[in-house]
Amino acid sequence: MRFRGWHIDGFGSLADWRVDELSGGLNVFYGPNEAGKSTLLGFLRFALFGFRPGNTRDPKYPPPPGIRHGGRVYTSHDDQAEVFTIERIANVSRGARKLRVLLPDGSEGEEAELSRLIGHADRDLYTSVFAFSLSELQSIDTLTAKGVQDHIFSAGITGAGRSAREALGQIQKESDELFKGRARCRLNTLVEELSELDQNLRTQREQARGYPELIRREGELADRHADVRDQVENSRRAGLRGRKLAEVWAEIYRPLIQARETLSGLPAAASFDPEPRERLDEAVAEQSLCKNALTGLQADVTRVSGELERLKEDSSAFAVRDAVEALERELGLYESQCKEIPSRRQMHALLASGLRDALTSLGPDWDAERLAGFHFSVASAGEATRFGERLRQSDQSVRDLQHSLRTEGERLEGLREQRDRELGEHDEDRDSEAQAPKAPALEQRAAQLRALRAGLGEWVNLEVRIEGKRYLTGAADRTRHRIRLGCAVAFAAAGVVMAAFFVGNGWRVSSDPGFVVAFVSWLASSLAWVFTRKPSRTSLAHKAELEGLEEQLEETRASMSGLADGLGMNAEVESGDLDRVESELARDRAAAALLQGRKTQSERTQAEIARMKKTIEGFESGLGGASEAYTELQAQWEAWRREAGLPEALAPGDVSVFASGVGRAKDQLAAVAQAAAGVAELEAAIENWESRARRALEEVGGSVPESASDTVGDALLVQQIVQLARRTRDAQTREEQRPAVLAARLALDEKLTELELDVVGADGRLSKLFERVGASDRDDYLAKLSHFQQRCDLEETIREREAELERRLGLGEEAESFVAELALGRVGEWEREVASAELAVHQQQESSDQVLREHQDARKAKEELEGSNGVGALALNRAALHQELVEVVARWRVLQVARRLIETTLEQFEKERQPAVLQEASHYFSSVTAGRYPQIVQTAELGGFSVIDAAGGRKTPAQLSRGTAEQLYVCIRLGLIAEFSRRVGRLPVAMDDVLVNFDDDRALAMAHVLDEFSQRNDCQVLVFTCSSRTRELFAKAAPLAAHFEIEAPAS
Amino acid sequence: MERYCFIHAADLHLDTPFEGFRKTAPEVHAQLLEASLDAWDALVDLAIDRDAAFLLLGGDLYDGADRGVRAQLRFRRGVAKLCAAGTQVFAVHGNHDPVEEGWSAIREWPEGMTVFGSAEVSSAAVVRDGVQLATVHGISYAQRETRENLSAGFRRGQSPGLHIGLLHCNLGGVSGHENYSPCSVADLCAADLDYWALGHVHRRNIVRSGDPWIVYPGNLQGRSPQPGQRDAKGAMVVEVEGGRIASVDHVALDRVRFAEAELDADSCSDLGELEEQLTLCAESQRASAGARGLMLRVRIRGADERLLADLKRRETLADLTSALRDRFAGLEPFLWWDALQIDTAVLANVAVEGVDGVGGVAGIEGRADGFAESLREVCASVVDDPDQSAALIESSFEKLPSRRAGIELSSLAAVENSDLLREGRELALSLLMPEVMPEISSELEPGDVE
Repeated sequence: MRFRGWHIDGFGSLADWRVDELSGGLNVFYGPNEAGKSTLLGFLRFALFGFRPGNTRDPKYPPPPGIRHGGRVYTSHDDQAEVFTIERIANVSRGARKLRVLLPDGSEGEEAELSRLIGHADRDLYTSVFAFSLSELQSIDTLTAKGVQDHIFSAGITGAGRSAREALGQIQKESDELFKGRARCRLNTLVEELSELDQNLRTQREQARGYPELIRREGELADRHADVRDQVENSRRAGLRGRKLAEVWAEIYRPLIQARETLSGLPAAASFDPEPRERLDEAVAEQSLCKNALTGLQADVTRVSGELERLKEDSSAFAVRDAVEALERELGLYESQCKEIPSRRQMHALLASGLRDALTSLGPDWDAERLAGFHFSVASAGEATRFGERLRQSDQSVRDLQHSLRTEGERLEGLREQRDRELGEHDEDRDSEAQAPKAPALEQRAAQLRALRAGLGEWVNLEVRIEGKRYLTGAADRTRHRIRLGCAVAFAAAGVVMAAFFVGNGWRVSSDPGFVVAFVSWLASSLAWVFTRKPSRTSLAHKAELEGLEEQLEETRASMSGLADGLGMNAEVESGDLDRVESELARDRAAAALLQGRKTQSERTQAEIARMKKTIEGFESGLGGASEAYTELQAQWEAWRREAGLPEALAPGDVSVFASGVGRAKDQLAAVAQAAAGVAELEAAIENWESRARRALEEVGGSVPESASDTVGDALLVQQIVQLARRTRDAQTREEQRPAVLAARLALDEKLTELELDVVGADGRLSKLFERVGASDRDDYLAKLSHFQQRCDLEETIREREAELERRLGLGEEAESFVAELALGRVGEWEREVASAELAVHQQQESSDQVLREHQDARKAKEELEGSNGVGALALNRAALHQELVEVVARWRVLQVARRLIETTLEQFEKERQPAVLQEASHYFSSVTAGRYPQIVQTAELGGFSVIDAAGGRKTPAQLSRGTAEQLYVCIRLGLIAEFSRRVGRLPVAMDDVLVNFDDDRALAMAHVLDEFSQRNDCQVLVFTCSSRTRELFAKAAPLAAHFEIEAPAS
Repeated sequence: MERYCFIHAADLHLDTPFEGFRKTAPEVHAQLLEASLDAWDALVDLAIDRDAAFLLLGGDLYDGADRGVRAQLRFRRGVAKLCAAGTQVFAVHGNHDPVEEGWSAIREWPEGMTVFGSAEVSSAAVVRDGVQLATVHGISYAQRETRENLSAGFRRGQSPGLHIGLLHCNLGGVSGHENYSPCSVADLCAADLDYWALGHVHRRNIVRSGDPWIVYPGNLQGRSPQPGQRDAKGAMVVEVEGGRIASVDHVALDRVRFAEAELDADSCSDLGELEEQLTLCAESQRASAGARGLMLRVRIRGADERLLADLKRRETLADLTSALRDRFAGLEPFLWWDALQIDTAVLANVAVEGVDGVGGVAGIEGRADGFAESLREVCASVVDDPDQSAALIESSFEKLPSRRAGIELSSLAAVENSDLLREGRELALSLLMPEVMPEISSELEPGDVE
């Protein structure tokens, strides 16, 4: 790969700097201090590799604000034409790509494309070996750092893939994860888990082995539990008898004896029917209920009687209820009519006044009677309209004809003025017409002019052709002349040469005069032939043609001369003369046309005047007829108007207006009549209602108010009618309620009778109950009943205790013995027996519970073992862990084998490859030291080296002077770069001021070496220097090197 | 009885610990725990369904001396069920459950169960409806290390019906098996029996089809992903007609099956397509396994270079396996993705775009650079030189303690030496490829464990 150029958008002090056409060999960049050489080196590293990830101390070269941080480098595969553009921007916005690789076809490539371009070298390799500064050159660490050693001497130099050290590191990392002594790692974790699992498994299996013992113990405990349970049962039975005696004594036997004794002490009592108390309560309650009901009913009878009194009749009001109801219903109408009638009367007066005005507007003779008798049909109105239209059309015809007569007269006058003016002009034109050429003569001149122009064209054509032929003929003559001259010179020269030849050879004229004669004759004849040779056939044809053309030209000239004479021109006609004559001819033709036009116009005007006179005469005749027709139509209208009864001065157009006025007056007449009828109708309705109201009041015997003659409506009458209506409604309501109240009174009377009988019956039944037990009243009855119930209770207690005793003790001898024991009543002795038995039972029960718990535990343990899959589950887990452990160990072994293989290969590779690097470096180092140090050798230490001087002595780099050591480090790098170039590919080399500590001799020698290195390995080298002297030395040592300048940025 | 059948099974390894795979999901774990016992229940049901006259169990009823109570009781319940159904049970003990080692939770067997002792070959008659159908001769292992030829003690008696030998043995010294009770076909033929019901070898095998029949039924339930454990496991149903054996058929009774499939991933361009292909492969395997759980391992071959580059990333295989497990979670019966494997040779040769040019050139095997060349030379010289090979293999144990916490780590090396060298070489080569590190899942070589 090589750089073709770059464009820096912004990188440190460098901004918008473009460099093109870098040399594929040595390139020297000169720039003073602070010009940006180190920045340029940094940019090239950045463009290829970017910044080191993470927060490093590496300089970032930020650009001035607002400028993109980065730029592009243009690269190619060595000298191939295709250019790859690598753009890297540091301060891209989020989401944008920092790196873009543009392929030669303009498309965007992957980052891998860049990796391929740079031979998969990484940043460390490139920085340490290919692109370094003085400080990096001086730092031995850059060459002895382990990573760089790898890159230089081992796997890194191979290019593709990871370095062997990285691979070993990865193996180590994974190995450590799997196993690392006693440290925390997968294998140890697995072993621990497995060990713990094994312990659990052993425990579980041990427990399983105890299963038979569990079964045996469970059986034994079951037997023990049964024994203890029997003992408990015996003790419980022993205590049970005593407890039973005590309980039966207390609960049954003692109450039984006591009841028997009490009963025997009580006197005899009367016998009651079942439920005596309830019977008494029922009889008393029935008596009370009947009496209460009777009292309530009597109150109801009183209330209904009062209601009947309230509902007495109002017969007079009831009789007029329909009439009053109708009056009340019409009361609203009556009141509205009373309110309406004044406005009706006012409206009637207004309408009558309007009618009078309408009659007045029709004329003094018009009154209501005439108006009612006047009829004017629609047909009559149409007839009047038609009269009006015909009169208007007749009048318009007269007016139109009068207007036409005026217009035509004015036009006739205008034409006459025009004719007079044209006649004046015609007189002036007559003189010019006499002088102007005639039209045929003008046409003839035009034809002559066209022929003359054609002849002129032909003449020019002929002249051109003649000139061409003359040239051809002259050229042939000149050629023939040159041939003649050439031949003569040739023959003469030949003669001179021959003469000289012969004279030179000692020949004399005298020795052979015949030869001289022959020679002179030959020469003369040759010259004669040359000068007498006829022209060629072509030349002759050209001449004949020229002559023919010249004759045609002469003929044309003669013809043109004749035409020119005819047109009054010179014989030597030229194009300008023809133009002039043509313009004169055009002018003459225009003047002739103007004269002819004026004449024609005058004739047209005269004809128009004659036609106009005839038209005016026709109009005058039509106007007389139209006036007569109008007069006749006016007379017809007057006759028709009189017949229709229309006013005198009424025009046909005003008839429709008059008819409308008559119609409106008729409408007003009808409205007045209708208003008068309405007022009369209202007055009649009011009168009707008031008369009916007075009649109704009279019928119920009320006071009737006098009717008022001066006002409309009677408020007092209305008030009395309203009160009467209320009264009739009350009478109606009472009339409707009365039957129901009467029926209720009858029903109450019947019920009252029934209740009185019930009260008598209830009193009888209560007296009978008292008589049954001999009681005098209710208290006596209750006392007797209490005595009777006490006896019954005692008898019941005795029966219950006897039954309970039999239920508890049963029948038979044992029961009899038990009863006999009870009869003794030794309660204290029985309680002592119970306490003793309970103590024994308690103690035995505890023992039983303990045995039972043990038995249950044993059974539970057995069942757990039977149902447990613990052994299987643990074994399964162990198998899984074991499998993982197997895999870990297997992986560990594979990793160790891989590690061993890589290490072996690494050693072998370093042993084989390193000498080639040092041999190449030795060559350059010998050159730069002028043979003082002919060899660099490898030391026993991996990656170490020393130098051999001319005397065979060995020195380490530390033993060399600073300048020589720096030369050594440069040469070592050159050896490495050469190896990389051979094995992987070429990469551009960049050195920043690395020669600054060299004296001129060393610098010159290094310049030679770099030039040689560049050419030998076809490798691009960029040297940055701040020294003008160094630049000169490079110019001297490497004349083909390209030179560039880095300008210091403006501060 | 003119026509009847009996059933021959062996190597039940009840409550057996499975081997050869890592921890599974809880629901799978639970079913694995029950698998061997469920298979035993299925055997019992089969015998009852077929109305088998008797059931022969050829040793290794349990997996070891430390057997679980649950397994013994489950076994006893099955025996009781068979005996109640009229099917006699005959059993011998093998090297995994010898008579004098271990312990028994069973104090008394149901009537109809015969467990042959270890002192000498003994015989028991099979009688049904008053007719003696067969005589079963058998002998159990007294101890695990039983190296004598127990078949020598078998002799046909005079009783009517079939004569059957029930023995746990290594017939013909089959490699890969402990050589317990070694014997030959001639030894067995010399006993003049009709049917030899053998146990010990887990791969089913009808060694001789008559005169006499010599049959290994294989184990009842597969125990690991090894090849010998992957086929259908179950028992032999032996039909007898007219006093002669008419047919011997295998019936699968296993509840969990192990399967290993190969997937040609040539057509897959990315992981998504690979997942779909793996899913199809799994469905196919699942259909083949029938109504039983499936432990599936798939070996991926021939993938597209880009895909293989993806697969080389350490976490890819784990993620893909996890995704597949999620996808198949909750199925009944279950399918457990045991492992995905990639051919390591393919991995080492994966071309990574950008290394050798566009379009992908061969991986490091085809690289022309010096280090790769040297590495290949070193590998070749190591393989060719036995001393170097031995030293290299020995070096693989360097720094690794031979024993830790009572576990013999050196005995855990499951990788064969040749495979170790191959895998180490391929790992070394692939590590020199950029960016990726292969996760090479270890694989077990096939073996029919005793």
